[in-house]
Amino acid sequence: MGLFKAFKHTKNSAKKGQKQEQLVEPPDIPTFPVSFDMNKNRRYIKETLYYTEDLVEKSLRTELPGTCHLFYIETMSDTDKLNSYLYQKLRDIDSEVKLERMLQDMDSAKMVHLSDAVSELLSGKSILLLEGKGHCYILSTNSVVKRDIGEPDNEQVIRGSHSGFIENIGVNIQLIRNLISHPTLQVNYTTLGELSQTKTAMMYMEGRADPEVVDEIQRRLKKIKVDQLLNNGVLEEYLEDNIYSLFPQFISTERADRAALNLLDGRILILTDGDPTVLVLPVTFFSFFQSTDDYNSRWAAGNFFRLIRVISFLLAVTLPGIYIAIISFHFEIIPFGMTYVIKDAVEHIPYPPLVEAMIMELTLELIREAGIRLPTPIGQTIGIVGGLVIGDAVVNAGFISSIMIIVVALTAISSFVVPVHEMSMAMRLLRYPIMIMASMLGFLGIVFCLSLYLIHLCKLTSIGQPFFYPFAPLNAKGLLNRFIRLPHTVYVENSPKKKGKGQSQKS
Amino acid sequence: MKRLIPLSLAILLLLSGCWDSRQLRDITIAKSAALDLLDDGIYQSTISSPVPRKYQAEERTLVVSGTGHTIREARMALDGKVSEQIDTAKLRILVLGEPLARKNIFPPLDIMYRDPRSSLGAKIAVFDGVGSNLIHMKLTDKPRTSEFVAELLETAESNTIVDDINVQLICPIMMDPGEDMILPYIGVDEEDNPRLIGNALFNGDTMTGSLSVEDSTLLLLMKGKLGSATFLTEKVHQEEEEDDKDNYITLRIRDTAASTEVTVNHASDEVTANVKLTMKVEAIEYPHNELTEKENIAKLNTSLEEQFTAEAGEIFKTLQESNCDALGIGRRVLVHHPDFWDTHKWNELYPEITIEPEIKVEIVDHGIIN
Repeated sequence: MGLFKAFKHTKNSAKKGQKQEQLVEPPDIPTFPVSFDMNKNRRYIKETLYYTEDLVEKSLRTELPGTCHLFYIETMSDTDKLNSYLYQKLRDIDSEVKLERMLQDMDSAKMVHLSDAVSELLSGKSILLLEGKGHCYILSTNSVVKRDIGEPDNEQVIRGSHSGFIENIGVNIQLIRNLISHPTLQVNYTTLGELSQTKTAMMYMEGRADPEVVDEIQRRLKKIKVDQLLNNGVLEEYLEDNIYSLFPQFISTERADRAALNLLDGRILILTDGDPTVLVLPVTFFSFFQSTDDYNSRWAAGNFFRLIRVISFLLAVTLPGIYIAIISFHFEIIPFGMTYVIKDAVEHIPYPPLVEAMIMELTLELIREAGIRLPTPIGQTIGIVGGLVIGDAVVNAGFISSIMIIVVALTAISSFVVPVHEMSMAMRLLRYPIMIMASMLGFLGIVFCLSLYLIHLCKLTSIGQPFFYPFAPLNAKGLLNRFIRLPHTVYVENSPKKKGKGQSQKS
Repeated sequence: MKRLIPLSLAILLLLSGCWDSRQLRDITIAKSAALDLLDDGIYQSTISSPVPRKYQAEERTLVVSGTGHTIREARMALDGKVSEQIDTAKLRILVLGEPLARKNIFPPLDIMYRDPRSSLGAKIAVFDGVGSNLIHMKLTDKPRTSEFVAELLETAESNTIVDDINVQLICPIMMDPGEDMILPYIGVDEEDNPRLIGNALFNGDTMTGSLSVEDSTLLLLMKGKLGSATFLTEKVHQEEEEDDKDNYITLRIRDTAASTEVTVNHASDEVTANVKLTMKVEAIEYPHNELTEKENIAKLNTSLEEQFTAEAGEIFKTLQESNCDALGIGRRVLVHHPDFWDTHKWNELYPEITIEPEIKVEIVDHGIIN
């Protein structure tokens, strides 16, 4: 472990230096109170925005003395709204009381500092400046560009809700609230990112979520200092207990029902504006193998598929290693009938099994990576070229044994079974150390490597909660609740360490 | 220092890795092997290994022999004849030539027990002749001798003709002074095709006689073994019918209970073994077809019992002549009468003891014809 510790130490010190640098960096906009001089105000707004060309200024006249000045960014504002609400109504105004009331009706806010108003302007609102007044009004005229709520491509289910999150945080929260209409559902907003000023929300259910975890997440969120926060991945790394671990410690999902189920389970969601994925935390290792399908299909089938997923994890991680170990160390374990078939296949391979396996695994990763980037019609070509041409030709040419192709294919399929993408990436990485160890020590090497993984899993935490939960610490009732999918009518009382953590039965 | 330890561990692992790997592609896998003793006291080891298809269009088997003063030397001589390294870890069948078996088989088998990689699950059989002849045989129905012999033995096991044994399982019996082993005995028929001809009887690690296929079944039944498809055919009518084939009955053994009781008379130094066998049988072929009547069944039962008891007596005579204690009577003497065992030499005493068979037959079923 000393080696790892040494690594950690150097990394930590590097991080500290970076943090200090950030603290000095971007200076806040100095406060500027609304001046009684209209021209000063106008110049201030324009100068703050560096005379950007999509800033529109309009002078409006009412029955009242003095001109009103309206500022808005045309690309961010809904001109229809301005037209129907503001321009038409302003015409009839003849007293200040009426103006005040009209603005109140219009979801506006009074502001004394123009500097604050400018930052609101950037989010699409309009500023209404009145001559001779020490304050201004903010009108919510922002137009929102929204995508339709569709089923996320990367998390499809057969039966159940097909609604997925979109890039708008308000809509996402609405989707969750639609599924859980309970007063205990809490939303806490935080704005993160010095430049991007991204709105993030933390959602949890009071009484179900562990208050310690909630506090811990809030503490960690406060500590985050980043320039831009455009997606959840950044947030994830800041929140993780161990960022050097290969295992993902949070689930990210685009499915509203999945997020809601996790909320009911006492977990906490973190939503970021502009990112359709939602972080679920804290999670356990086995949460990655659960799909909402399990709870929607019959319980026996649900259990079977869950078992398949766990087996697929083991297959994806160990199968190439097992192949290497058998071919180079322990061919005794091949059954009688298969010995010659396998010997036949590997007879002419010009290099060691490790190289053979590495070539094929890397080819597979190449095909996969290329497939993601390409548009669907060309993607199919890649499938044909990669799957048929390479797979068949490489065997015929005698570079790779046909058994290796079977192993790679099985491994590839297994690694895509897991419902959460992050875990499938982890699985693909975890296989390489096993392959190397298998080529050096055979099965012994695989066992060494798996032991290391197991030790790491047992030690890993997600926001302070044990990651490998029903197994380490071992909890029989937890196993029944989390590992096995019981029929919904059967309820096993979990013996929780703390009150309020017991409701882990998803329903 | 703290960094040096993990670093050296990593280097240890990385630099020493894969030195003991045995690549499957660099190894010739022996599937069947024969051990022989040549006339001049030299061991001969013969192995056969199927040749991978890519070299040859037709299924082909590589058969090579090597000679030496020990089996290891013979194996080394073999290695010199084969391009790749020979590995016996997947050995399926080990054939012992009769000349070797008649001498003693433990010395050549010794290497099998010492080498951790040798295939202890291989079937073992004695061949009537020089063992390498069996390996060299070209078979019509199976391309590989190893498969032919292994499957022959497996079928014989389910028919209770040979015991379910392998290289590992014979070892304790071979070492046991109170029990002797019997090994499958393979010979050739008129057309030079291999066939099972019974069991080879051993005294210690030396072959001393043989038993026919029919007798083998009864002996194994008395040992308490029963395979899934065991049949016995017996002549039950003495010349009553004109057509001789009507005199026979074929039985399928459903269930057996075997026990051996040994009494020792200390005064007269006499050992008497009482071998009891109760069989529940099913008459599956009986042209007389009078099995619905109880008297007939009772008559058949007694007739069968007499026949079997007489046959068992013959078997014991053969066993005693070969000094092969296949039933493990000596072991019972050793356990129940240790002082008697200590004062006598069982090997010399065994041919003289009395073995009394007592066989009970009960026909419990006669098929669906009523």
